[in-house]
This record gives sequence, C-alpha cells and structure tokens, in this order.
Amino acid sequence: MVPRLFFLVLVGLLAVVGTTEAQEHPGLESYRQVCQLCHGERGRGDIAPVLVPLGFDAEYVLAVVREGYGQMPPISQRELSDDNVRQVVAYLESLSSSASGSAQTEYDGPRTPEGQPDLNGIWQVLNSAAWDIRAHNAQDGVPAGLGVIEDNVIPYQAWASAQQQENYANRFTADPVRQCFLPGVPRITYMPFPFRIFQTADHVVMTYEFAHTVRIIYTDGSAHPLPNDFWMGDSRGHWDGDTLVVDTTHFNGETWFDAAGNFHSNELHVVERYTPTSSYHIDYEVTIEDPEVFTRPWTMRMPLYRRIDEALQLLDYDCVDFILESANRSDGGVQ
Amino acid sequence: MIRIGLSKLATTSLVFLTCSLWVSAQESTAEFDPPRTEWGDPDFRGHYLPGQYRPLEIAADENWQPSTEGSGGNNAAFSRFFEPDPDAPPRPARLTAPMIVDPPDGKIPFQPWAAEQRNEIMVRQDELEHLDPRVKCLPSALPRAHLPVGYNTYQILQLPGYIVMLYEWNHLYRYIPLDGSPHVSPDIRLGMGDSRGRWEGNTLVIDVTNFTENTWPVGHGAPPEGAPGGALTTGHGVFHSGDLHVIERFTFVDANTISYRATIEDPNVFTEPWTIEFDALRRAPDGHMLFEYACHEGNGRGISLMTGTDLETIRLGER
Repeated sequence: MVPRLFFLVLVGLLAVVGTTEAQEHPGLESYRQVCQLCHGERGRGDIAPVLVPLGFDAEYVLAVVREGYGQMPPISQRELSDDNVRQVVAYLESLSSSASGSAQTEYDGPRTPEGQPDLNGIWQVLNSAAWDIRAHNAQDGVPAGLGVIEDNVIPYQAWASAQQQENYANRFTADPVRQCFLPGVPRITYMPFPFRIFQTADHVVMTYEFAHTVRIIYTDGSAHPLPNDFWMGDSRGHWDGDTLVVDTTHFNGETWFDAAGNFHSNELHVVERYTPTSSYHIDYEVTIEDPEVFTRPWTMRMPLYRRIDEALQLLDYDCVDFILESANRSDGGVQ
Repeated sequence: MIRIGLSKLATTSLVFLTCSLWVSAQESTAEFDPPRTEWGDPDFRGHYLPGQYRPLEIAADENWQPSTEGSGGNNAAFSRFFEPDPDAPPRPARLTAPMIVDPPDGKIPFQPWAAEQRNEIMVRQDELEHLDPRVKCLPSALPRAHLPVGYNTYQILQLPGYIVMLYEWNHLYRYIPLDGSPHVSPDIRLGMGDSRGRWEGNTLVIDVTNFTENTWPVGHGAPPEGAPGGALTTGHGVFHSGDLHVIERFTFVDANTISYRATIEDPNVFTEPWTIEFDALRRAPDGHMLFEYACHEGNGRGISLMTGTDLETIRLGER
C-alpha cells in the first residue's frame, strides 16, 4: 500500500507542475502538489480522511507528515519543507473558518475544473414568492404560500410599513413588473420562470426567461465599480467553500420584492448564498439590508430546483411586446 | 498539444505586432489560427466592441461622394442626450464598400411588393405599429444584433458543448448549442431566433430560425458623415416573415478581430438569399464590462413624443 501511495503522490506532483493560481492561499500550491491526490480538493477527503475542519495543530501535523501515519507515507523535507507544512495547515484552517458560518452540506454532485460545484444548467423555484414573499392566502390567479421569510416578519420602519400597505392597495397599477420593468434582485430569482446559469472560472452569468434579464456576476475578485444605479444592481461573487456568495449593490430603488408591494430604497444591499445540496437542489438564502426602510437585516430562504426536462431551453417572455400589443389595441389599431 | 503551443506563439506575436500590421492583417488572405480552449475548440471567449459603421446597401445609380472629414467615432445623435459613448463604432472617414457582398450589385433583393412595403414602413415611422422595433425596445433579431450601433458591446462565454453571446444593448443573450440538436418546434417563436451552432474548421457557423415577425433583420447606425443621403441606406425598414432563416459565420481574421458573414433567406420577402460580410467584432480593452442597458424602462416619454402613444398607462395582466 505504501509504495502505491508514494507513486500516487509522485504522479500528483507531476500533474500539477506548471499550474498557476494567482492570488491563491500560499499553502494551496503545496497542498495540491503533495496532499490533494489522497485527501481530495480543499481537504474534503478522498482515499485519505477529510481534513476540514482541521482538528490538529501545526506541530502535530508536522510530526504526522514526517513520520507517516497509518497508510500515509512519511514525506521528506525535500518534498515539503517545514514552512510548507505550516502554510498547508494555515490553508486548511482558512477553509475551516470560512466553512463554519455557511450551510454545511455534503455536496457530492459534479464539479467544475476549478473544483467548485457545477451549477451550469436551468433552474427554477417552486413557490409563490413572486406574488407575495410573506405567508398569504390564495386570491384570484394567485396561489397561496407559506412565505419565504425567516420568522415571516419583514422589519419595516413605521413609515415604510404604511408605504407597503399603500403599495399593496395599488399593486395592480403600481407594481413595476406590470409595466414590464426589470424585476430587480432577488425578485428575478423567484419569478415563476426558469433561468439558466453559466459558470466559468471567473464568471457566473445568469440568464432569465422573464424579459431576457441578464446578471453578469464577476467571481474574479473584482470590486463593485463606481456608484451608479441599475435596475438589477451590480453583482460581485465569490466562492465560500461550496457556496456561491453574491453581493449586489447600486440599485435604483425602483423595484419591488414581489407583487404585493414589499419594497426597498436605493440603499438596498443584497447578499445571496447559493449552496448546492445535491446535483438537483440549491439552498438559496438571501439577506436583505436597507437602513432607509428596515430596522434590521432580514433573510429569505427557499430551494431552487434543477429543471431536468428533456431538451429544455429558455424561451421568450418578452413582455415589452405585450405592452406594445396592448397599446396598438387601445389606439384603435393603426392599420 | 503541438497545435495549442503554436497557436499561443502565433497569438503572442500578433498581439505584439497588431498596431504595425493592422492594415496588412486585414488584407491578408492567410487563415489565422486562433487560440484554443482547454477542450480544443477555437477560443471566442472575451469582450468585444462593435465593428466600423459601413453602409449596408449601395444604390447603384448614385454617385459616390467621399466625405472629406471623419468623426472621432461618437454617434452624434446619441451624444446630444448622453455622455459620449467611448465604445461607439468608429465612423470611416470616407465611404467604404457596402456590407452586402451578395448579390454583387449590393442591393437587398426585395420582391417588388416588399420594396413598396418597406417604403410604406419608413414613411409611417410616427406610428407605433411601424416604428423601428429596436426603438420600441424589442429584441434586435439577427443579423441586426451584430451590426454597429452605439451602446452595444459584446461578451462571449464558452463551455464544452455550447457558446453564450451576451449583448449589452437591451440585455439580450443567445444560447448556442453545438451538439447537433435540431431546432425547437416551429410553433415556438423567439425574438433572437433559435440558434444551433457547429464548427467548420476555425469558423463558428450558426443556423438561426424560429424568429418572431415583429423585428427587422438589419438596420444599424448612421452612415459616414458627409455621405449623400440617397447614395446608401442603413437597412432600416427591412422586414421579414416567420420563415426568416439566417446562417452566420464567425471567423477570427487576427487575434483581435472577428469577421462576420450572414446569409439572410426569406422566400416570402426576398427574391433570393443575400449576404452581408464585415469585421463585426473588435476585441475590447482589458477591464471592459457590459453595463445594464435598461431600454424599455426609460422609453415611455420617447415613444410618446414619437408616436403620441402613452405606454406608461399600460399594465400587464394578473401574472
């Protein structure tokens, strides 16, 4: 067994020579060269045990590395210096701390070449949040729903609560989506239409069937650009373990959260966490901050489901055309 | 592996020499071998700016009157209202060859009734029904989405088995499978059509059908400044039926330039297929990004001024 493992370690060494990862943790390179083949990507375990969260200190790890342990062969100073070992420990500890706050999952679905869960494909919610994110009874054309808000409370400031009630009363004319305006974030996610995720090494692009909306989410470490305002905001993402975290700001304050008048200002700050729990499910958690409208941050949560229909593709819901058709009719039809 | 190595070498030299070789590279007939993706396809990934404004058509009986001066590249009509668009398609300093390369006379082969219909459409641009669909914020359709216009840049993403094209103007996108799958049912209609792609050597060939009938297949920005109005057109008012069939060919001519060739077929409107070709995509500088172009959201007042129709009072139904 030991010779075979040695061989694997050597193969691993050869396989990763020449790969470069800019701005990665300094311990990552050593981890990849020496440890990853047996312990898996990001210490998730493979033929050797899981290393995250790391329950050992650097001195203990150093001893195990030098002397071997069980089926693990001893590793020499030449292959991995003491400093390298300490860097690897720091790397694994950084993974442990970043994973601790997030939804812990045992995702075992496909991964991209970069090691992230592969979210490519068509997704959709199965709920009635588009009509009302709170618990609500059915109305004509509106399915009932248990709501998607933690504790079912939106912590409005007093004036904002009154504004929401006014919005609700006027919702059939005041809802911006009824004018075919872009729905904003996170409303676009739970519109009752499918959307497709494209995931590359430095982008996650989401294209939506509703009004051919697009979100280009940079995962290249770039920051939000200079303040501007957008219907869909400006989205920057990063991977926290197996969770895609998307930070969105620069909203214009013109959009609603649903068709029931729940609203925000242009100070809205949205943090979405997309945590895949299997090949077919994403745990979608959204934290809403807006000090102009709410007394505290609040959270929505719902599953996203992968659409597996054969030959499925996004089609058109170009509501601009419906507005124009309606205008032509109300004009008495110009020819 | 050898091929990838050579491609990288070729790219490096071309990038290094791009400035000095700009003119000759465009005229070179040798096929450029583009870099490859990790999975071996020609690598189209990146951000691109629109190509140069050029006339679509030639009116054969007009004299060509070259302009004596060109502009810096900003679309004058837009820049009255907005900050100058730094990514605007450049205007040539003089009249250039038309985009239409076939038929050889450089004119759209309209059926006679369709030529009259086009004129009718153009004189009725103050009516909502006939107004340029892009002014109404409907999808660009094709090949119009690749013709030069201000405030439109491109991003191309590639994954094994498919390509995604993102268009800044009106946040349009196309998903282009490369898996040999057939077009969607003819009952389905899509503003940007239904795209199916394949590789022919280094060329990306896309077959597009299933268009809606409410768009124009061509129609782009202004002709060169100083061009006599009757000497050329920009393709406005050209319409199509649901049988529109577009075959596109994207080919790198150098590391930073993609040639675009599109053949337009519609037996209900034209007497024969016709083809446009020009360098439609120029690689954007590092750091370029697509911004949100919310078209319809700010369009109510413009439509009201142009047509007298108040879109802002119209609401969609229950859903």
